[in-house]
Amino acid sequence: MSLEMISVHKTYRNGDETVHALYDISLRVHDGDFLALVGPSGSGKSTLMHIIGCLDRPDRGTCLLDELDTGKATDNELAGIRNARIGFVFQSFHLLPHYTALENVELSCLYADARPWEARRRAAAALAGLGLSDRLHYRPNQLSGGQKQRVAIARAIVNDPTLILADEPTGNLDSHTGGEVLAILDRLNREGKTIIVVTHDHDIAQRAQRVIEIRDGMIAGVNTH
Amino acid sequence: MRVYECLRSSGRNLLRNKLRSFLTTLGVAIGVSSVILLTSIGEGVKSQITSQVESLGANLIYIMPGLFEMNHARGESKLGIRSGQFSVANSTLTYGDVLALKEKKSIYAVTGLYNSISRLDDLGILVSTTSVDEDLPRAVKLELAQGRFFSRAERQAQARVAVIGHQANKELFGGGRSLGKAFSLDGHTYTVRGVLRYRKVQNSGPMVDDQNIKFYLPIFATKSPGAKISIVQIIIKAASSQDVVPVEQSARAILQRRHRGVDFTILKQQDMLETINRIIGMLTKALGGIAAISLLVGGIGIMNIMLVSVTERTQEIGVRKAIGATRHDLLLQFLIESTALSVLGGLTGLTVGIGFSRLLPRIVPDIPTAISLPAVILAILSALIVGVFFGVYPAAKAARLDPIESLRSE
Repeated sequence: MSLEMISVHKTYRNGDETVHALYDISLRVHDGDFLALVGPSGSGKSTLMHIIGCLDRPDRGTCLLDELDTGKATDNELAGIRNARIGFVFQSFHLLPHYTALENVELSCLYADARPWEARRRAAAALAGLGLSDRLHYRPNQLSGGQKQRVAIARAIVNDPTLILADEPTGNLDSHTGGEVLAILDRLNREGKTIIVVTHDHDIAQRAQRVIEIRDGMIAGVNTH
Repeated sequence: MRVYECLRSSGRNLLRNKLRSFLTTLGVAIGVSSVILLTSIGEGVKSQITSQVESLGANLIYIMPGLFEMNHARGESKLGIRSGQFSVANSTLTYGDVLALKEKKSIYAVTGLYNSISRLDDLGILVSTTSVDEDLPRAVKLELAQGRFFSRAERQAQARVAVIGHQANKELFGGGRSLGKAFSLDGHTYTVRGVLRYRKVQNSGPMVDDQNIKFYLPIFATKSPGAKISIVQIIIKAASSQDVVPVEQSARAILQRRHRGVDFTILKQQDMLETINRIIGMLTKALGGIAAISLLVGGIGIMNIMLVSVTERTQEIGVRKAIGATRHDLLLQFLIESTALSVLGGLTGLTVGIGFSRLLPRIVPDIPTAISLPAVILAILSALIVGVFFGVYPAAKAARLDPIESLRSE
């Protein structure tokens, strides 16, 4: 997944006041990169992630995902990109509470129009790859935090996307399980997936090839490891 | 498969909130069942009255003495009727009119009717007698338990014979076989020729007609042959329903010639039926309309619960959007849910409505019901439409939600 942002701006109206969430961001991410976005809360890193993840569009500037201008894409095209090419991993997992692990993972396949049995097969395989074969029919409230996050990662990778977007993936985990989750992300990166992690945590940032620091909606610094 | 997921999530959600789904469904069910029940009562009353009127005999034309026209008089006042010399006492209709009408080929049967009060000497009481001619059983439905109706020859011979009702037979002769037995009216002895079959009294407003207490006598039997008889009603039966209008016209012409003017009124049973059907049809529609209001309330219930559902599941909607659900997917998911509620309610209402419509006449025998297929189809269809109509707004609301905002919501 190649990503190119050229002079991206994003503003919000908060009552009477206009907030510049992003100001003139230009950025290039290559296929197979491991990128960390760091910065204090309110710095605009979440907004940046939403635009990269096609959940939002820039107000000005262009964001090209594999040459496609996301600012000009329709909602349905963006939904298709999120489904096929991007996998989301959230801090609070965001699993559907009434669905089993298997059903949660299936969801991505079903929205990709896979047939139900095909979706089931692929979801089971993805979960097995993350060591959750014995937890297929557990609901999220029957799983530990680490297991939940692994289910969420399975859901993110089941459609074999090229980009994984992780928003504070270890924020709700203890350091041991957090380490496991990071190891999984490392492995996925080695397998060729582009990883972008949003985090406060400098330990996580250390693992990235490139750390981009966002402050007041602008890129304040870039560190390459 | 997106549709599979839409169906699955809708089904899961309905099953997870069983009480809520049940109550919402109930709202629609009550609406649909009351539409079906009320319209079937309307239809039932209509067909009962129709069959009662028709049981008097089909293709009937009634001629009454006196002229009454219900249109208001031309000119100043809008009050009153054009003319109303309706009077049984001064009837100008005679048996000669009846005999003149009998000449007409397209007339299947015609009889004059004359009522009087006579003293039943055997029991020492006064009874009402009806003098008719031999054509009566051909014009109206009369079922005999014993014997036969009196004949033309008996009428012409002025024989003192009678056909009596079930109750009359019971009180006079103890209810057994009584052909050839005699009783006395005003000092004259009459012989029983026939006994009517028992018939339940049909209570249809002004048409109370108790066949069981009848004394039918040949039309000349009550008066001396020469005496002028005032006929209160002439009943004509046309040979077929197509003949009704021509028969009415020729009867009018014959009577006009004999009476040198119009001093009589002709009513057709068809006209009366049409009027009755129109009025009852109007009432049925009004009842159905009132019941439809409850269907509307049921629809608002669906909308209400769907809005709650969308709010509760905002985060879920955000997650689904993040992993690739389109607006269309979410619209469909919530529409399936609301439509499922209304269709379920519709089917429940259908069952309950039809069940009650069948049961009601057994509990309250005076209320007849007839399930009308168009009303049933309309009720189900409107339940479906209600589900879609009241589901669209909440579903569109879900589809329009911003994924970022939704994900943040707790």
